[in-house]
Amino acid sequence: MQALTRLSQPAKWLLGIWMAGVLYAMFLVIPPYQGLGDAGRIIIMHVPTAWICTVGFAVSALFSALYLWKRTPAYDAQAVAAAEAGFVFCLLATITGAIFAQVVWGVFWNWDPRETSILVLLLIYLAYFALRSAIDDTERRRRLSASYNLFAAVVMPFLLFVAPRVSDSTLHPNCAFIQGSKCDGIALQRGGDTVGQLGDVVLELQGVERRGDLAVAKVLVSTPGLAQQVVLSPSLDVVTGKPADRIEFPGQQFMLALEAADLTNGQVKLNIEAPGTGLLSNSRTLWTFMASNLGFFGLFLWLFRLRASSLILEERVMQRRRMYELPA
Amino acid sequence: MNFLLDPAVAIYFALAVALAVWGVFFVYLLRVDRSIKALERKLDAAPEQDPAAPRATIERRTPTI
Repeated sequence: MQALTRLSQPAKWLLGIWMAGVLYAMFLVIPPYQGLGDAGRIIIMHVPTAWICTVGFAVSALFSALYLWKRTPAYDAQAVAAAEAGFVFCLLATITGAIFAQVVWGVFWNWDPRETSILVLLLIYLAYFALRSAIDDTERRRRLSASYNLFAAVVMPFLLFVAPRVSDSTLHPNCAFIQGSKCDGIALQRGGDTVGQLGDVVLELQGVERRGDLAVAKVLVSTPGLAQQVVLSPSLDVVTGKPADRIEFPGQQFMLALEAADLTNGQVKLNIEAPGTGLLSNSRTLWTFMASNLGFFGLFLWLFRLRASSLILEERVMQRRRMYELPA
Repeated sequence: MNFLLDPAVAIYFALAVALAVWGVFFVYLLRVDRSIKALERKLDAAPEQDPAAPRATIERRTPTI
């Protein structure tokens, strides 16, 4: 592993230029997203940092397991280094996500399930570092923190991938931004389930009617805490079966779309859409996104190796100090 | 300074700030990398030796009275 992560001098300079290129492309090459403007460019940093954070924690758990198996101190140092690097990337993902939330939701922190789960993950790894600093006995510290790290790694995929997806109330734009992601929307019916929720917005179906080739739904939209209520009328082209008119949510960059309508039974399917939907279908954006992933992975490897080397060095220096100490 | 917030200029300003932050961080990483390598070389060059044992000389003296 040490040999794998040892970056040569030209590779480091290449990484420096590569990341500068990614920044240049992020600001000046990819097109701005309709509705989100330049703020949408933050996706190029936000998503890769979140992915690299999971890589960091997974690598950390791997080295903790190796330490528990072989009891080699270097594995413990590498576990800490990977966890620290993962933590830094997790923090970056949280900050960039909060900036994005400010643009699309109008608030930095919304206690959305995705935001809450990443905060819990950060606290779990803060506890890992606190645990390490609380135990003086080296051997005991390594053993306990390695065991804790394995438990943290088991929880990590649940917090990052499962919890936000099983929750009904999330505005994290998985379905809006990533093509092929599951985003079923909600089905409402006159005389049946007339009230539903998309993200943290409550919808009440008040009627559905046909106007020429269009099916038009009348939906009462309530923002969180009933701070604002407005009636929106998204429509569907019954000939093509595609949404005809998408209506913007009050005060937000997301839009309400009528995806299906059964006029006989008064049933409609409503969904949330963002202006940046399908942004990765743009080749310039896609290549910049891929380059960003690769660059951040290289940066992770470098940070990981640097920190692991410094911890191993510290251990060697301590060993020598102990060796030259006179017996009491 | 308000001209920096002009929509036509702001994106170039943001890019310049981002590049400057990355540049400083990159140089910092290079310096840390170099220091760690120098320390590693120093430790490798001074191989571990047995600690210098404390020495004592025992001398028997006959009292001369």
